[in-house]
Amino acid sequence: MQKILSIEGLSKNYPGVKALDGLNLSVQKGDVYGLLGPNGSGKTTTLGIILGVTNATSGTYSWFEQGSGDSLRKRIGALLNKPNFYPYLNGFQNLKIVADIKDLKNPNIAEKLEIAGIAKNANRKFQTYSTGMRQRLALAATLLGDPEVLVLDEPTNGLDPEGIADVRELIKSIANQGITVIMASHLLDEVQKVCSHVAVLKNGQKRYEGHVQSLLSGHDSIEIGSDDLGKLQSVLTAFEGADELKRMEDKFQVKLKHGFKAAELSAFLITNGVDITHFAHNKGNLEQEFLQLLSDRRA
Amino acid sequence: MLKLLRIEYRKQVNHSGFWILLALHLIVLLLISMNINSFLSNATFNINNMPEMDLALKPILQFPDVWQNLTYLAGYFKIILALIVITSVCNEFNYGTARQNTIDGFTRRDWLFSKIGLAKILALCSTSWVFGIGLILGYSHGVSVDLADVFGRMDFVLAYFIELVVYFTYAIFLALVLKRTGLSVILLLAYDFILEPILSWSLPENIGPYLPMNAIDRLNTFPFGKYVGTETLLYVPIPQMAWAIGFGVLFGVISYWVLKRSDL
Repeated sequence: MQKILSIEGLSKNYPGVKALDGLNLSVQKGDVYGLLGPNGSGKTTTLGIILGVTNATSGTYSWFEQGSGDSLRKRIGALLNKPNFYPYLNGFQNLKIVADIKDLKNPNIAEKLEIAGIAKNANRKFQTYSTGMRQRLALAATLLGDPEVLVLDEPTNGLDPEGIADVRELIKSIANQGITVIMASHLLDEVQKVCSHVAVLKNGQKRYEGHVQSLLSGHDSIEIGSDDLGKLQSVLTAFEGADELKRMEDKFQVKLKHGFKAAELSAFLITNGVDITHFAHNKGNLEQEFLQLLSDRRA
Repeated sequence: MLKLLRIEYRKQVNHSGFWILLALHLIVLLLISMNINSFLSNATFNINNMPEMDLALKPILQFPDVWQNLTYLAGYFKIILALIVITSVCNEFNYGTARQNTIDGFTRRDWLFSKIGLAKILALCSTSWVFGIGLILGYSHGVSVDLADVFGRMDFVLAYFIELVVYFTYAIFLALVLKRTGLSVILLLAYDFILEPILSWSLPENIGPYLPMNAIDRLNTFPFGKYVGTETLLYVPIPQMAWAIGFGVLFGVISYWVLKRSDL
């Protein structure tokens, strides 16, 4: 599979701060890759370096396995930090400049404005735009030239709930076309909903890299209560899908092994004649995993 | 280069400040040229304590003198165009568009060259304007309209163009370093009118003339002395042009170096 981006040993020192400390990442074609981390963890610094605006202290990165040449960025659609446009130009004029820089012959600006939901405001000056409209214009700009990869920094920042839903749908539909997406976010929920892969950053170091699913899998937990806790315990112990059994006052918490479903457990309990008074299925939650990764002192 | 100019054009064409300052510059040049005699008798001559003389009798506006005299006076008003250059550079940092241009695929060199392109276009506008005014003045005060006289001292027109481009490159450099319009303008003026004169007094006598603003100014030194018998240079020395261009290149190179090293 083609590597879209590889980062090796990337570091960035600001006076007194190691913003990035020997980061290695690799993004394959078609990934929806989330960079997750609290504020100040190095997400934007990483994106700034791979987008050519921040000079790395050390380390290398390579786009499309072709190095870090400036012209490679013309094949990337990127939104870093906040939308940056000329306030006295309207949306359409602003995108014309982007299209010119990217050497696009037929940029099809109107279509991209339409997709991003900003077409009807395209003739207004950028300085009159609301935060949400600015974000939408920036997204339209990233789509110009049908880039092979989108780099988005907090793409739903400043949007209202409707806008957030729109943008997530947009990212999903882009990803469904096979376009690689690299997205920084401090919103766990967002990464969980949108991304296929995730790297968790803290203090400029990588704490985890892999599938979002494997970060979550095996972590579905089920709470079960019964009047006869003794019987419940013996049946649960007999269930081959149970990974971890924990007694919690008047109920048990069971973690399911990978590949087992809650329904199988409940059927097993009923077949074995357990009277269930409480049955709660807690889906694996990235937030718990995330907090655990961040509190982890290994690294 | 054409691509860079097209992009720069898109940035400027709807910017009202650009048009206002450009129009102001051109109008000021026109007004000065139209009233050159009264301007001279009021301003320049008093300042320089020149002896009284009847300007009407002097060939100030005749070919080929008009070129030297006109470009000398026009040189005072390059600051108006420098404001356009400075505003344009600083705005790109305020808007975050210098960063966005880079993200979209500009190299830092592209970005710098597009600003130097703007500087050259502005210089070209002003030089053509001055050239046009010179032709009109020369013909309307024409004693000699012999082509050898009409185009006799084009070196002053070329020197005016060089003066502007070098000055604007210096303005770009200041704006890149300071990133604030007001501060850049103040330093531009302060260096030209306060710092460099002090430097030039405190340095050994033979070094002063080689400082950058002096190098630009000395492309065309005070030309009106020739009408009262003071020794006056009647052409632009090639080494002087080369020295000024050298400063332009130097400012460009330093600007590139600053830009290359900075995080946008």
